[in-house]
Amino acid sequence: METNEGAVLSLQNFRKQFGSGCEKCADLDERHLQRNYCPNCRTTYACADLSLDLYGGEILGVVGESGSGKSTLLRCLYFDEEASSGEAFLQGYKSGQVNIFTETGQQKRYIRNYHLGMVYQNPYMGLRMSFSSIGNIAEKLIAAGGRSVDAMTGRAASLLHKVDIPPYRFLETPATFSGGMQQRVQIAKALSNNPPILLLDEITTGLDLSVQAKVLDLIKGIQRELRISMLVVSHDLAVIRMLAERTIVMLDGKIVEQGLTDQVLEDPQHPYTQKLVQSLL
Amino acid sequence: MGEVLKVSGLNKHFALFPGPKVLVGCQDVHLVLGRGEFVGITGRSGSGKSTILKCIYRTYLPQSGHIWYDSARFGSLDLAKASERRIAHLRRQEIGYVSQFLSVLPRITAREIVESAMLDDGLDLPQVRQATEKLLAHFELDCSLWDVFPQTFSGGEKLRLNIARAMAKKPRLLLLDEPTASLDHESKARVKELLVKLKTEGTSLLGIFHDLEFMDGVCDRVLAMSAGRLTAQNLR
Repeated sequence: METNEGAVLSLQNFRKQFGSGCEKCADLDERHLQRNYCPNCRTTYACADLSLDLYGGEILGVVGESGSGKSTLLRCLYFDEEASSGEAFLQGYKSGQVNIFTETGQQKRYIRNYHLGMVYQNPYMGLRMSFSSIGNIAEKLIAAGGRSVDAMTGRAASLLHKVDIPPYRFLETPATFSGGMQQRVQIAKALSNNPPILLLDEITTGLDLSVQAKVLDLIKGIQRELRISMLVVSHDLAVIRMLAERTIVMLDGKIVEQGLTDQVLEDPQHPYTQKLVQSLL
Repeated sequence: MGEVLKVSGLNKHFALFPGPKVLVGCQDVHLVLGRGEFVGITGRSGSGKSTILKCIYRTYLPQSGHIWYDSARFGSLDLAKASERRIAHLRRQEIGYVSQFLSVLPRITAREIVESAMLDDGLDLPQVRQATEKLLAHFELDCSLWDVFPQTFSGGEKLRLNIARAMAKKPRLLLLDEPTASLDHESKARVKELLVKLKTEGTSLLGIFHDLEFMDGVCDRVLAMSAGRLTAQNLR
């Protein structure tokens, strides 16, 4: 047996439900759901009993159809939503001994500011559209304890440079940017506090091919240079194949298959994964 | 001579959903690869040759059987059951795989592909630069191609780059899945030369070839496969 040693993020028996549940869906084994939805009390079991480990410097892909719970997983890890039950441990936070889901709101903010970076599918979630690009990054830096204006400006400028935003647009608001540029500002913002873990939610969806290529090269470069661990959610198998070493396949809130990415794509064990792979163009 | 690889009772079939369709990949395969040995496998298309290689590389998950591999880092371990983390490490450091097709990340130049393979090995940059150029030159890739994305390469050029990348790492075990299938005579001779060199440097090789002439002179043993089974050992 391999130990959990080296896992920068360890998630165990994580559940998230939207709704209170009723006697018909309370019993985990005997519940009668339509996919992950209880028609009786209208409760959605978005994530049901997920366990996973993310290791240092690794990109872990998460694939699955819409509504399979991928985004809920990330949103709970970033504390946008509260987990219903389960445990998560970060190696860098209190030596991985404390379940971060049960920490106080203040501690959760600390974890979010010092240990995590998040890039949303929709830049409107991750950026303040009416603040300057450089100000957006400063916001995250201030949250992470930055106080020197010079240092923050320098850091923000170097990050924006890294993601290819021209200097003469640093002071403009992301609202005036194209979708691809907004996404790159978001990535710069997520990187600004040097997080050991980056959560990426469908970051290339809706971008045209050449911009998508730019964003992917950026992600790959970041991983190579900074050895940041990433949890990459996508329903684009080509993106996963390019980025991820290991992949998890989700269906109706559960993990139905996991393995090395080429194994999952070439020798899928679960009917759903086979269907998914066969749908690949 | 120790064993680097020992496959015993390997079975792989593919269950196709929906319905009870099952494809047989390979059945009850036993084979042994000694350190520094070069074993060739031959057989008709669909006889399960690649399945064996992909099971060893863990692109396929075998249903039953053992694949004992003698790792420099972990000692003896069963590749059929080892953790994904260990397999990932072995792929980076010890086991190379060359297929008929080059699959590389887009927008990375030929030079970078070979260099990054060597940098994983912990060499420093000037050394790597030099070794990369030597290797690319050996495969007669024109130097105008070195800083070009491989998508624009011809089939043969891609293949040669593919082999160069795998060889750059000097792996402990190299799996070759018809790497010479579409190469011209001259290129084949080049590949052969380097395979022999790798072998003398201690790499163990397991390869699939259709070309009996190619195997002659490099392979220590040749095995034949049909209908998912190894039918003959040591043809030579």
